[in-house]
Amino acid sequence: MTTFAQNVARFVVSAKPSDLPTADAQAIERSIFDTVGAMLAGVVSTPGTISTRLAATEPVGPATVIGTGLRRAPTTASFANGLAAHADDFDDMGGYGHPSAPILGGLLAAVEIAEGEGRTVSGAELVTAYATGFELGVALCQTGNYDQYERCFHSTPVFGALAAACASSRVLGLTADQTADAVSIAAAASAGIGRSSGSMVKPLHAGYASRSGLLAALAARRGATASPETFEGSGGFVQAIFGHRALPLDAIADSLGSPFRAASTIYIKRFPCCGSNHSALNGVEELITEHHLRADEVEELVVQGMMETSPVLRFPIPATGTNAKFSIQYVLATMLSKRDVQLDDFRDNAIQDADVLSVARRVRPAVVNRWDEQGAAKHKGNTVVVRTTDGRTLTASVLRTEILGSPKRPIEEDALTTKFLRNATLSIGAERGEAAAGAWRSVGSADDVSKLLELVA
Amino acid sequence: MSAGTVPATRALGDFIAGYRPDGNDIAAARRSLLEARRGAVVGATTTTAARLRDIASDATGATNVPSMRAWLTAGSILTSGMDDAVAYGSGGAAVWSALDSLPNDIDEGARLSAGAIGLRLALALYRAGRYQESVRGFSGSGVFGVLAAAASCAAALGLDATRASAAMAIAASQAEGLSIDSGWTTGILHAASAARDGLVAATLAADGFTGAGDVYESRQGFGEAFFGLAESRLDGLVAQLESGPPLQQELRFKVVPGHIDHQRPARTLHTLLAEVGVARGVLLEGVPPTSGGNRFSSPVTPEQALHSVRHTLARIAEHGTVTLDDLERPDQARLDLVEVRSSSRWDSRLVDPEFAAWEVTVTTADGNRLTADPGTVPATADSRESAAAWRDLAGALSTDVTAELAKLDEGA
Repeated sequence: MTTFAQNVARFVVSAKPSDLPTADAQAIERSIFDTVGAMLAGVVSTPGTISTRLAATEPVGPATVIGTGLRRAPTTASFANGLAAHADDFDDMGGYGHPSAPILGGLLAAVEIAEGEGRTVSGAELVTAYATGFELGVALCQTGNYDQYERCFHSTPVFGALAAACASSRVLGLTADQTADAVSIAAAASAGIGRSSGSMVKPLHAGYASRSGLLAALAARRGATASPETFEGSGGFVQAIFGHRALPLDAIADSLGSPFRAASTIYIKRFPCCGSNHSALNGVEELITEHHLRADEVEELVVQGMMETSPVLRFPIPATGTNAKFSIQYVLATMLSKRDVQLDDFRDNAIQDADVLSVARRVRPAVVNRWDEQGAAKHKGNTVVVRTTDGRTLTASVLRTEILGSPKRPIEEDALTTKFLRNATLSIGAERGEAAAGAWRSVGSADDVSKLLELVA
Repeated sequence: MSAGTVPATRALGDFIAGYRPDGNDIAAARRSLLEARRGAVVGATTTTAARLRDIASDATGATNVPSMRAWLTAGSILTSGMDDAVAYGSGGAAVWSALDSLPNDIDEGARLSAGAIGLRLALALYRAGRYQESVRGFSGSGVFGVLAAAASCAAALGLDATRASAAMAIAASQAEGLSIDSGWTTGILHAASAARDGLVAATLAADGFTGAGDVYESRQGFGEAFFGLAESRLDGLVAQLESGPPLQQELRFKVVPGHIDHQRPARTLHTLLAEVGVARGVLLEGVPPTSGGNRFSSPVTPEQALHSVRHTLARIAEHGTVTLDDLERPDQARLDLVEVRSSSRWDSRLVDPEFAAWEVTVTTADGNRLTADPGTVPATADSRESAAAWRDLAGALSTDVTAELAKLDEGA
């Protein structure tokens, strides 16, 4: 009888680039491109800056800390890059939270280890490796109906570490047995407290998961072991994380790559804040476009259908820029006041804007009673209802599955590149950003990914 | 929350910044530090430690990264099997490895004080959590080890209460480790990761990295994640911080390499063998069914041997002790000499006043039996016993290693 880890490993090792449908490969390429951009912006954020300072105290190593000019130990680089990717909450989402930040942090460091060992990793191989990890994270999280708000462990690092382990194992050339151990070792490193959202520790989760996944692969390659029943056994991953052991692990393993899920799952973010804001943000943007709505016309803005556990209810009056990304009041007020929501709106000085705060006080989230039928549809999105000063009532409703950046409504190519360039300019400047954009946008056809890393060093 | 109760996250920061260990705690910390350093020296000779060195080299590109040095040191200590234990699992390994790897200069007094603070803090939180983390499938060594290491490093770095709270908020999100890991490399890595991540948490906090100010006590926080206790249910923490047992009572030192549950049966068997000479058979009865020391009946790796009370007693029956060589070749143990029987969860003196929690029985060559109760022997080794245990363990090792151990003994 094979274990879950063995079944997963078989999938990881045997997947071929030709197995990946074009749509999924393209979705992953867009995600990789977008996430590298997010790293280039995140590295100049407060948590990114502190992380870079820590890396700077360490000796020179073989791996790139993106956007800093530093080369450090692979585990240091994976941690710093994973953290940077998620620092602004501008990285992609879907599947198991923020999928790309933890995978890519570990995966890019694994590429440089492989390169140091004389093995070149192509873009096609990078994309395939990513896909194997993404599949495991999504399959476990979604099939298991993992609810991070009830179980309290942040889904991004818990499943992201597993995904990073798969992807890193693939690039480092681990055997099936070693990959099974790597995934199990990563499972043993599951960590990340949900309450940390709205603090600097949230992006640290992504960095931690990147490093855990990479280290798990390196450890397994050297013969480190984990219990073969790490997932299904008593005192194992499923029991600890899900709170029970009744997960259909065989079915989950069989579902990997059948079909691949990237194209139907990954959302590229339009706004640099918690994804739970985006349905309402899209709704308000619609009202602004259709009705030329101005902030001073708003008497009250009600956001309907807010889950009791919604993370964006945490900070009605945010004290820091990081808090503000989890404040539905602040983000909608910003959209109304400035017609957009951008990175600069979350700098600590920006959240003192008196005009924006005045509008924020007119935003009222309507929390759904948990016994209400609507409460069950918690992932569908939020309707926004505006009462204007002249007596009108304006309503907009954008389903979460149809927000700009969703698989159904992808961000257009120009906008994706513009986002990358704006992000990249913050750390490596406009000129280098242009060169990097051209190369990273076609990462899937690159002969040698390590050469692309030089462009964003 | 009752009036006057300090919220848990703040209470942890206040404790780190304000607590001054007394002489007894310092003495206990000194002993724990000595054991950790002995463990690092001896553990470094094991094949598992060699593997950890290779992993660390790959992970760092063969560079000297302080946090990975802490990882390697703590992992090596655990491979010796002689790491000291506290109520939640492995005690000093993570703490001293993290402190010894801080790039800052810290004098010995400050180091001992910091270590004592870390251990007390972690034990207080363990008790406030009412032991629920193990019910949920988590290993105490990993979950509380990182908190102990972070608190120790925060204290050593002289962080004020606010930054110390931040260090603990960061560490909360690095608490990890599954119960199923015991007996595998992943079990060794609980202390290793704890050392590394505790050091990183304190270092980041010192530079202004912050976390959620209520991460321990709030909804979706640490207390709810690991114990199912949110909001006001960590009220007991402050009392535990202020009035917990002295460290001397908390720390357990070993006489043989292996799980803490092996120590009393091992000492008992030593005593019986001293009386009878040679045993034809050994029976250990009444082992709690949840004991981590009875995970493997027929171990095949050193990690499994450290969690096999059957292996430990077999080696003692064979030649009086457990050596590192024994751990490297557990499949060659005379396991046929030893039988281990678990108790049921319902066995207790409440049901049967004559019930003895556990017993060790040796059968002599002429068929006589002699029984003793492990509950009557001390739970922890004194200094003399520890020193002798290390000498036995290191007996077959290189002169460099024995010389290093001798130097540590002189300094003790």
